[in-house]
Amino acid sequence: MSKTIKDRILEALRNSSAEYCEIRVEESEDTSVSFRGKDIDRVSQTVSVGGNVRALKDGGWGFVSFNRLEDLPRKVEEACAQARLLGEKLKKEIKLYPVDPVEDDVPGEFKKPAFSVPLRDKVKILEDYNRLILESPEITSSFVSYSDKHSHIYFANTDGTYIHQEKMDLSGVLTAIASRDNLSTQDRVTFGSNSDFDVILGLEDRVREAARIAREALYAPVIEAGEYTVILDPDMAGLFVHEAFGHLSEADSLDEDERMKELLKIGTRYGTEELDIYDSGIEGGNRGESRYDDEGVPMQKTYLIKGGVIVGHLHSRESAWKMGEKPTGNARAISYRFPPIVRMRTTCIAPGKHSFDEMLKGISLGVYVKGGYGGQTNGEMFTFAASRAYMIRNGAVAELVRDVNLTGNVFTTLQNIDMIGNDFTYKNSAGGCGKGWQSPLPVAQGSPHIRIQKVVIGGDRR
Amino acid sequence: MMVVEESKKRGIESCLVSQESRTTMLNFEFNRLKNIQDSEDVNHAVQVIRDGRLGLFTTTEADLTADFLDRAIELSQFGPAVDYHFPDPEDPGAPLIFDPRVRDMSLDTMMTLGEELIDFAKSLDPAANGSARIIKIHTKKSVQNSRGLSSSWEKTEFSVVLAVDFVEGQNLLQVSDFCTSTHLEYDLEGLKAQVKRDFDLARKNVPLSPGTYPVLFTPGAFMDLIMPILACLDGKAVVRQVSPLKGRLGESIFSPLLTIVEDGILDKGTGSNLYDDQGVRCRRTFLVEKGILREYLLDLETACKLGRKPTGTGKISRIAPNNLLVLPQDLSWKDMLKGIKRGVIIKDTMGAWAGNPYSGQVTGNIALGFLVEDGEPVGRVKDCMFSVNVFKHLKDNLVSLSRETKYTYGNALLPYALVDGVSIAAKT
Repeated sequence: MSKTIKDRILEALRNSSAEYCEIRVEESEDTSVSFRGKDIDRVSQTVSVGGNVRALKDGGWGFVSFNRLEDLPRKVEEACAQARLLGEKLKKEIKLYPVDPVEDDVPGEFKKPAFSVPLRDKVKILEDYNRLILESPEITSSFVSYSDKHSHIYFANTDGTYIHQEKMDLSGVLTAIASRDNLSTQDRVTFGSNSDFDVILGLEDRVREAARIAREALYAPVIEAGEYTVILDPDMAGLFVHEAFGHLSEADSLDEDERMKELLKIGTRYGTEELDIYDSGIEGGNRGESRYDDEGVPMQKTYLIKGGVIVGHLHSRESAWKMGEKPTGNARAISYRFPPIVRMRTTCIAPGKHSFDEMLKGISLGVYVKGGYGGQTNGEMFTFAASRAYMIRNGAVAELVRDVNLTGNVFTTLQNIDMIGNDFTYKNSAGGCGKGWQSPLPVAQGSPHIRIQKVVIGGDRR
Repeated sequence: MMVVEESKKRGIESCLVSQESRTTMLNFEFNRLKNIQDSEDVNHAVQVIRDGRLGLFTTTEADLTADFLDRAIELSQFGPAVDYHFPDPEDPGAPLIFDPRVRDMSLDTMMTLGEELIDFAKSLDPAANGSARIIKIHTKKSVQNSRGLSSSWEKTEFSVVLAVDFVEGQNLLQVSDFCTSTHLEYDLEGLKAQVKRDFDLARKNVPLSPGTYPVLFTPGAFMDLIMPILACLDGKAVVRQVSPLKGRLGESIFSPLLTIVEDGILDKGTGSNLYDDQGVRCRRTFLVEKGILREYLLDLETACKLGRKPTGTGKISRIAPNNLLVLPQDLSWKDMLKGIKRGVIIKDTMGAWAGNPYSGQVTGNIALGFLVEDGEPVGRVKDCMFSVNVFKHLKDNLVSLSRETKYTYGNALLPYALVDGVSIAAKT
């Protein structure tokens, strides 16, 4: 099958009339299982086959996607015609940063592939977690959801690259919901991997804890709005670095904007000496990591901030050429329906030297945030919602509070990180990142605990 | 039809939803045309009920074969137990949802539109970065089931989106607006006027002290307050007993000003359809009428469990409104603004979607908002968060809704809303 696809792709590419042309074809199979309350809610599978052609001519990009592989030669012509049409209007020089052509076949190196596990077993594992949630006191409902994807991606371009990659992705969420009167509260456990089905196993203690927190949140007050010193746990700190700095480092939003380039110039200081931030596609096992990105560029580890100073950006081949920097393997697309754009993979704050106890010391009134529901940024400001939060009073973790949503200015908040912990962990969760209508793209984060001064938190006023 | 015919031969209930669409999108970035995207998408969803269990298999493979039916049947052994049947055919509504002018619109015409928007963006300030998207979608959809339903229809969508980014030091500003319809109808001048108003006003930052304020939510921001209500109206949340609206039909929950309607047959509504993805006829349903809870959003399963009729809002494995309307009132939004002595306009938010929808608490960053003094917006407020509880604020603190409505994301047509006593946290 793969040889047939390879032949089709390479033959179709020979008809390109553009400066540059690439073809990406995907075959994939997805499985989804979910429970809501005591009932199974969904068991479904999806088989997808599709591809796209992207062509560049005189600064104009043409992109077509399709489901019928037999249309491939016609689609190459269409993409090239679109690029030509745009190029005639633009007459602009846009190049792709040169990378060595590569021919590679990358079979999946999975620790335990999800597709090797019978559907019956997946359903059973989730059913057991669901039962565990529902057996917990005051838990009235649940949402247990799992999905996996197994794909083969074939990529070739007119530079002479041909790559086949086998990939897998899995993620899930185990949510406990407690209700009292007309109030419902929830807490959850999430998991994910690009190589190991077994990350779904052994979560019982965390599930019990989630059920306990959901129950306790019923009796917790909404946090009082204000400005606080905040400690973020590794999960939340990972979400913070993704939203607060990762997106800003994506060079396709800088490469044609002189003011943004100036703002994110190499050498600019945005944090203390202790702050190192990097994005990596090669940590191993995390969602979104693979050998090559969707332009056929090898993934790598890229430092964005070292010692508090900007040292790099995340690039596609186009943004790298425009900014005179090297491609970093960050051109990614959510599926064959979309062109690759600059996206993160595993984004991390490197470990520092502080213990959690050191961070607590000296905080008379603060907030300890554990885990996040999600976040968002518009470049300048960021926000994220906590899944659990506790007040800190006189240097000790105190009562649970609920509905905690934090915000800050990206630039000042990075400067306000005054302690970085020594307890680094990765976070792989369900869902993913959204940008340019491509969502959810699998990503991961990594961080130790961090402490930030002067974070604004929304909530009640008393 | 082969899948449905084959299932009937085997004595198995089935429903097949097929969709073929073509999307053409012109993207302008950094004040220039960046690319053309042209996508052809095929999707088939095969649903079967065998031995009282639902099987679901979906594929993008263009040519359907009996194999797909076999896959759905195989999956049904693990699927949810269901008490319902796929519906008998009913005559559908006839919403206006297809405009051949959209289907036939040329690339040149789309380019001209985009260029006009980019020229406008550049006119705001030489350093402004304009982005625009011109999008047309032509969809052919069909629904067939083993009870004899066989219907197909065409639909078009046309959207124009403009965003302007502006950087001044560490001050990053984005203002945006869009028009969308199933028809080739757009108000480019209105869109430009709105963007210019926001852009000019947002150039000046003004401080805002923490406190509670009257807030004028624009339709887009008002949608953030409606989202948790939608989550609570979802039949699945009601059946699971997690919705605070469970068992409260006929009860007064919100202000009498608030009427929320699901309208699956709205003329020119981008969410309108003839049937939902379970073969139920799309219709118009009052969910909240003058503050009183009238109905939930129901698919076949939840309607059966609650002993009610489905609302034509069943999607593949989820429930969602087709077009969601909050009905307007009499005042113009400008008159609503005039009545604010000191308050805030919230236009764009960030992160308000995150959190627990069943608590009704909505907390988000004010991504684009303006301080109002004596009925006039005086400048942009930044680095602050708003927080409301929709069950409290849309019951006791909803002051007025505008007569003007505007489409927001998620096929929702909403007015402006003036809400009193909104908590705002800001740097002290």
